[in-house]
Amino acid sequence: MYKSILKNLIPILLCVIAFVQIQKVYTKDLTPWKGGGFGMFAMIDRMENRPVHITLWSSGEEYIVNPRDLLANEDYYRIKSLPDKNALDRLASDILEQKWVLQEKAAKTERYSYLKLQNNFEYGSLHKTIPADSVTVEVFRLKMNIQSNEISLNSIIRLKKPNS
Amino acid sequence: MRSVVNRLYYSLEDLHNKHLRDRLLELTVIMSLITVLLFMQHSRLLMGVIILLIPVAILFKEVALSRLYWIFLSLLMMIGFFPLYFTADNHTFLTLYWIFAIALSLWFTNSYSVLSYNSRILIGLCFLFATFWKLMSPEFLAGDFFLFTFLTDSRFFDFAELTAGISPEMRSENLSIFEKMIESTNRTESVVLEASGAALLISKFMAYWTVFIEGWIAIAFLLPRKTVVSKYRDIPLIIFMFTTYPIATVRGFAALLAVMGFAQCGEENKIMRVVYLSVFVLIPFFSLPIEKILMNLIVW
Repeated sequence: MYKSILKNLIPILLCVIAFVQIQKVYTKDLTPWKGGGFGMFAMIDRMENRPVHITLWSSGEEYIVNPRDLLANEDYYRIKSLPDKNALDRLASDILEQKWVLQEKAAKTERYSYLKLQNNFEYGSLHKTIPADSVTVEVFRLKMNIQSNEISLNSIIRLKKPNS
Repeated sequence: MRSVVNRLYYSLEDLHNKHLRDRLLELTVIMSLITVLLFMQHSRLLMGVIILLIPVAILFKEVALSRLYWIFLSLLMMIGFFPLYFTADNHTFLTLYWIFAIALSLWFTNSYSVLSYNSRILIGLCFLFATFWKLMSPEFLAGDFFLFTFLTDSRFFDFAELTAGISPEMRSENLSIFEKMIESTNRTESVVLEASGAALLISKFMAYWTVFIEGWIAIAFLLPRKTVVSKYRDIPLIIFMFTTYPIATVRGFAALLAVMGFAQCGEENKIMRVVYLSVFVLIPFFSLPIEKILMNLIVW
């Protein structure tokens, strides 16, 4: 009995992790491609196809921040793969603590202007800092309508944090 | 007199089988170490230690079969794996299970049989869950997943051009529409990817073929060894490896399946052992642009 359990220990471990992954996909928005449930090559909702949009609000204007300016590879992919409120909150706090400058003059046709971390910007000191009133972090997934073959972005999680 | 001869014969056969099992265990362990060294994702934290630790076991048999070595390697890889839990590929999980299985099997007197059993069940379960996800995905069953993949995943571009006639122009047009949507700040935007009727047909065929072959592997590897389906279980796995990995070049998964396939053959199936070993050796060639070579041959 003891030997039989020991012999099957690793297959049992695989099943436990795969069931946890299934539960997390359906309840916590984990991408089916990750988490050890062998859901790769089954759905278009892949970690790499999940955009993270960050909008910084300043005096009624909206600005776009690139998440890669702040996040290391591992943290960036972790947020895309399993976007949870705590991670988004930490990222939003981080954004509010940093100083941001306009990356380039926005074209008139564009709705948004893009911001760059002042420290990473060569001429940062010459540019006016954009004071943040609040920040919105949102993670999307790809959704496919199989009747119309239409692909669209669906919001998974959205967090707005004011600057206290 | 006859009984003495029989006993002597069976003892010699036992000795031969034991020797064979030991050799097979050693070979499986070395192939596994090569797979971990060359194809597994490691966290930066432990990469250096693992790169130093593995060649030692490849070079010295005593180390490769040492229980303490495998416990230490398992613990180290588990620690290194935790930060990657939600971002690592599935074959990294499978590699970790495989390392645990080797570590565990070395504590049994019949190590090779335990490892052989674990490899068969782990392969079966991996394909069972893979089939489950495909059956749960309406976009996969409709063929849309593969159509999307043909148009946006660079690993499939050559295959899509060869089989579904998706030209580089059509591809780059679709790719640019798709990338614009991903980067767009307009949340209400949606796109329809354009493709030919042939592409749709191939996508549907690929979807059904994948469910069929993966389901077959799951059933064949999970059913008891005595059943007919299980007896010929290597056939679907070999077909899967040769039809999947030259297209989707996930070399880590291919290498691991070759090692595990080799291990689950047991002592009796010599031919399949040679086949799996050959696949393992051929894996670097899976990265060759086979579709491009074929296209050039067709044109020529």
